[in-house]
Amino acid sequence: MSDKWRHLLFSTYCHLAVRIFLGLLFIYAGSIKIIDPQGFADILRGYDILPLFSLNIMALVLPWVEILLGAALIMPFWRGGTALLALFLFCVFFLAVSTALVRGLDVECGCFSTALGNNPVTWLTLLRDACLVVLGYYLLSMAYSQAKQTPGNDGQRKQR
Amino acid sequence: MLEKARRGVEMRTFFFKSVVQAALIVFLGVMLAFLLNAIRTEPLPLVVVPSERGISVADAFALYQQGGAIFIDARDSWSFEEMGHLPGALNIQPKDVHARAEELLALSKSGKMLITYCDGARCFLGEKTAHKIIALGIAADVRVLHNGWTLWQRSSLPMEKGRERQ
Repeated sequence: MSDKWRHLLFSTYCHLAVRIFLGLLFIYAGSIKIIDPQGFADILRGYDILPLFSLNIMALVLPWVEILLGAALIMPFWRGGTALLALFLFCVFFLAVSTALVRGLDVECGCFSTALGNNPVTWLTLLRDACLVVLGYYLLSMAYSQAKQTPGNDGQRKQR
Repeated sequence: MLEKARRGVEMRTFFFKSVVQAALIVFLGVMLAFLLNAIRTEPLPLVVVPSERGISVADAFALYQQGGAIFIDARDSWSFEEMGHLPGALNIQPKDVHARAEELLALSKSGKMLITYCDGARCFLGEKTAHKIIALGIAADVRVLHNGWTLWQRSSLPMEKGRERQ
């Protein structure tokens, strides 16, 4: 990679753009699921990973975590924590989708919709999740390098 | 050497802080979820109760012996053929319900109770097939044998292997 591209990739602007993009994505995905928790619980059930008793709890909690995380990603604090949680969630989504694909389950993605029959899980879903994992890793490494530059300040820019 | 040790401490501090922050976000999410679910007009029950369409193995077998029931296996065809299935079962996964609607309609009209099943307590396919049959208006009452294949084997009831009976 040429120096110019490397400079651009690790610039504050690129970091900000990725954070805003992922933040809005999380807020969008979360708010759709909050509207229809029952539908989301049904989709989670289709994945056949979680035990029955935990389905509704997960269907209630995950959307709120997504929304809070989305909002926090856009805010200029807690960069390490938000990046870590985003990366963790993307890895979980990636694993869930891959188990569904490997077992040949006919499941809804449940990513950005809770309606049945709209977005079945495909290899493209897996590819998208893989891209998101890469973005999550990017956020975490950026947060770490920023924290290194300004120790004790948790990756935030120095305040006046 | 000193530089390396300093880096290690730096990294550990960063990850520790990050984990605490992430845990706080999750904790806030849990609080908000439960609080707002409680004040919803139709709160989602926290624990899933098995659907009312459930039927016990004993009842299902009795009904089958009287000739009043037909089993629908919602698993994949390999499990159906190689591992075995309930006597006289049809192999219809949720995605195949539409294609076999006429056949199911004829069975339902002849007065047979449709009983779907899958394998494992968490398998949702039996219920999904039942849901599709009802949604397509094929039968008004479809029963689901929860964890059907496992429970049926445990009860040492008759079973078959191979393709569907013609």
